[in-house]
Amino acid sequence: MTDIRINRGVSVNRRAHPLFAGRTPLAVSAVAAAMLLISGCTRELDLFDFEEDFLEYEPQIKVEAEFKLPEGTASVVRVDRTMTLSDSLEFLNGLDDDGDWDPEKDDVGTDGIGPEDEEYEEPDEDGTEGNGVPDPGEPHVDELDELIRQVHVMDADLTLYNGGAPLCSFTWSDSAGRYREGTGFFRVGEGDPVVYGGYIPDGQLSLSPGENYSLVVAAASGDTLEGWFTPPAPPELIFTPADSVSGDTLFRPFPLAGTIEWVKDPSSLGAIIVLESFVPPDSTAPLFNAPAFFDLMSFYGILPGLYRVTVSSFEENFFDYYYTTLPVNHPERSSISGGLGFAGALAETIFFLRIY
Amino acid sequence: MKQIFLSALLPMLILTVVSTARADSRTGKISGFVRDGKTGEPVKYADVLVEGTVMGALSGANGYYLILGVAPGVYTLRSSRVGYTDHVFELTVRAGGVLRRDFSLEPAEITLDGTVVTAERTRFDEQVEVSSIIIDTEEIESVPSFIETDVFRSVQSLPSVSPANDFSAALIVRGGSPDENLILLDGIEVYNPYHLGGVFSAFDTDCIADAEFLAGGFPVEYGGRLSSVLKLRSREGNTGTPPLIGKKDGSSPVSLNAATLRVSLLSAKTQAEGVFPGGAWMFSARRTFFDKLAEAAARADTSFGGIPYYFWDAQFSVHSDVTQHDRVSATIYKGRDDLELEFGGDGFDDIDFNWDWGNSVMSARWRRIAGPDFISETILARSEYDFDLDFAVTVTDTLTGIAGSSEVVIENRVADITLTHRSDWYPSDAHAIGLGGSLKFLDFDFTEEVDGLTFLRRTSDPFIASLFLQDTWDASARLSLQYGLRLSRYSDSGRIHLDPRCGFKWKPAEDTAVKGSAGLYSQFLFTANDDEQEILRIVDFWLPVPPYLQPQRAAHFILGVEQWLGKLGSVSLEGYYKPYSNILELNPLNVPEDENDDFIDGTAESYGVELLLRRTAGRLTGWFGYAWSETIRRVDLNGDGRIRESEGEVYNPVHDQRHRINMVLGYDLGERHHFGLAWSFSSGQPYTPVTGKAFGPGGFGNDAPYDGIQEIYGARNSARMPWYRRADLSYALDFKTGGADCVFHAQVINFTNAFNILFYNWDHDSSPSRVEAVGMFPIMPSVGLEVRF
Repeated sequence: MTDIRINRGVSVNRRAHPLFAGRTPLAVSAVAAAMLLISGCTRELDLFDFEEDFLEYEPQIKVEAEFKLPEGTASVVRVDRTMTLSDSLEFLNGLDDDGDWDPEKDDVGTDGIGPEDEEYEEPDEDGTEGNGVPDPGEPHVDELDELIRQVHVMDADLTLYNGGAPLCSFTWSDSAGRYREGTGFFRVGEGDPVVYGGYIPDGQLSLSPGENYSLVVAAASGDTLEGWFTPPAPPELIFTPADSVSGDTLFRPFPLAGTIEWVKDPSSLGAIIVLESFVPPDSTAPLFNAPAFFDLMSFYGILPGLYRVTVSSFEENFFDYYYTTLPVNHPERSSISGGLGFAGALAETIFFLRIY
Repeated sequence: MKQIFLSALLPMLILTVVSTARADSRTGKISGFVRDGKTGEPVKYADVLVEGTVMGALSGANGYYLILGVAPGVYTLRSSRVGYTDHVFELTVRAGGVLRRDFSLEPAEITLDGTVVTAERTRFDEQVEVSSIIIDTEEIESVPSFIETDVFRSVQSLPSVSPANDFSAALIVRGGSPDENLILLDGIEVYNPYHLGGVFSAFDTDCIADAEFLAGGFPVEYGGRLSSVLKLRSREGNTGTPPLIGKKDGSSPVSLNAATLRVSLLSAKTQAEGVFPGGAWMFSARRTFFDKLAEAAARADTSFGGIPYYFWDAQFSVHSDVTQHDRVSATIYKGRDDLELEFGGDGFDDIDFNWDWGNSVMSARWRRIAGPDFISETILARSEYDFDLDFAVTVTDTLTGIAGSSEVVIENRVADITLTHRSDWYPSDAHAIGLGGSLKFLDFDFTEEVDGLTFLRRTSDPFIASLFLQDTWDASARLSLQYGLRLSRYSDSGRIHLDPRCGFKWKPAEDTAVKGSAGLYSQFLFTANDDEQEILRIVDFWLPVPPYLQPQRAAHFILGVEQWLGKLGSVSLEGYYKPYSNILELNPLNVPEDENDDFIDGTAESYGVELLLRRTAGRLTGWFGYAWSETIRRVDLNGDGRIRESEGEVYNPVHDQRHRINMVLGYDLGERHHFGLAWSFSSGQPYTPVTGKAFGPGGFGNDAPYDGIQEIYGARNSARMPWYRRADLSYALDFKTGGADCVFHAQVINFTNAFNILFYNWDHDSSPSRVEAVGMFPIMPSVGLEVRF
């Protein structure tokens, strides 16, 4: 896959601007750039033609600390290192680094096509199909969750402070978080979730809106990075007298299910809505993931069923992380002093929606 | 500084005018127009000389000339211009008398000897303005072009101008952004003068009589822009050839006197012109047809999706001399671009992308010659630019299969109604006084709708009122001064902005002219496009300077010397320094809910030296230009109250080019064969280098933490692309067939097939990363045919 990464200036990537909000000129420019690429006026260059630009770059520590309210224990701090352009690390090593390769299903050879696939014709000529060992090109070999393990920094010491007093320390977990590839704007991913490592709080963590917190990350390399944040209060839902509410569940008829509004903490910026189809007792299937341009959500067209709706509003650092397309090393985006990344909070309000 | 200038300017103007205007009653005046005898078009820079005296004048852009202070007597009045045979009148001048003589010059074969280079020589002798160049139709057509001749492409070949890239006809003049140029069509401001995202200008060369380009130091009659003025003058229409439709004796009040059909690989166009009562008319229209050809190709090959784009434009102008002293005229121009894209499906989102944009311009003009030494012109014009963009994405839920769509509609409209008046008074041989003003009523509307909800709407209806006063004073045979003041009131700033400007021309020797200029310039409208960001500038987003910021300002300091080289033409050397204040940038830290932080301001400076060797007469014409320049911007992009280079806040903007060499040559081999060569060689443009990479979220609205590779950048614009080089060739063959005059055109753009880099495209999914360069124009031949009746 070839990404279109237009490199003409730092401001190529900027925080969503209200006039353009990452859509108009960028979209137009991307369309135009795509047309140019398609037109074939391209030439592959030697990476080392650019060595003056990147040869002196040393990998850095990058911290991404997501603190969630009201339950702070769901917080995750990712600590990774950046890479040089010429860095090959151990990427694409043709091995099953995380041990999820299944010889029964995945031993299909380097073409990645096995007897279960429609386009399968014959075993791979190179003998890799059915050879009993993982090979490049086979499922669960060199997949993303294997690659990102190689950039995780697992030997850092993390402490969260509240007003100067230590509040919580963190422990490394190989499966601190997960998401589905392809998740994005109006889109939910599919397939096996990508599992990533990170630091999770030791024990119970309770965060209060309006309090000042600081996170200190001491890397084994001797670098100490610090970030500050002040969590907002969770959004408050506004129910009308006509609303039918039972406990934490809102009832609305199909298809004219109307909208629901909420009030954000004045200190918070922006919001995100996640709509999940809820299958009791504890399973959810993501359906919808989008930023909220206004403090309301429309239920129009949602099919009958039970859904879990999460409305999250952001503290400024998290807002910058979520909405920005500023470069990762832009001073405004990197709210972590002494390094890259951010420490920010988002406050969630969760309710259930029954469309009948 | 301003007060000193004001207090000095007005008394000087009054005193010098009064002192030199007294002798009029003892002498006579001669005035009139110089026109092309074949087409009826005005002839500018024609010499009108009173033989046996040192008195004479130069016809202006409208062909008008005025000779004052002629002692009573019998004279021969001669008008001459390169490319025409002389025309003479015998006349008797009486004290206090006013004579009107209109010349009709017959075209003649151009020869090159010491006497016929008078037009360029006259410009050299007479013109006070610095950084000014006039390009006529022949020169425009001599520049090899991409498919069609284009006045903007010709201007881009001048040393003061650098193009953004091959795909852009936008003008970057002495470090200024494209929105800092005032583009005037017959005095009317045009806001987005491009087609196809700037690949072509919006103006059909066949409608243009000539273009005057002022790269800096422009006088006070022009306002509202910081960098340059490009004045396009439409042809008035052919009245001199026998009618194709109408009475052959020319007695029809309305007739068709000439018609042209032209077909190129890009477009088909037609032009018609003829006589109108008391004047002439002209109509021109063109439309691209590659969408139609693509439709036909798509029918033959269903795998080919066609080309969903076209543009068209049309222009109509008419004028009538309703009395000997009054001319009324009108111009209508309209042009549209239309792009419709549909893609997606097969696992991808369905995307509909419909976009049309264009300009609509109308004007009515009244020119009155109140006296031989007093001409006034009043223009009422309406110029509108708009675009409508409809971007719809249909997403199918990956689990349920339910489809939903999201639609973004963006509309931008700029409507400008302007009333302009200008009077020129020639109180004596030594003074030419210009006085005028304008009232500009603007209406801006920018709307973004997301799924039927208005996400953003910015409307504004400011007005700009301006007055100007200027005197051009020939203080001696060797020294001319031009000084003036422009006052503008911009409603959103609530202040009156003063733009004093002055210039001089000193001729220390007969063939040497030293010119200088200094002045202040204000700009109240700007485009919200991010020049740093856009690879291709499809449209301009025009906005008024918001009330929370001050109008953009610049000062021009220009000094130059020009040497007349006789048959070789002329050579000029100019240096300039242009400091800016209140330059507007998109605020990278804006809060969407806050309407008062969309833009921030900064400062900039641009300086450079330009050399231009130009030859306008003879078989070999053209120019050679070299420019050295630097532009530096300083903007507090991270809002910390300090501007630091280490934070990328002091930088060369993306259009900064340190060295530029341009050569444009036209050569006539006999009467039928015409060759053109254009060659450019310039420093690469700056870019921000990629130095590293990191896993991160996939972009706007995607917080999946490892969904993308993020680039880590070095200092802003700290690296440069390789040198740009391009050579174009053109050939034109004149021939006759079936009673029609025909011209066959052939061009080869970038005939050496040099690979010039537009941008770098990184692929970080492989390890190590890979990079490819996306190029500009490859070698591109094209042909066209023109048939004139």
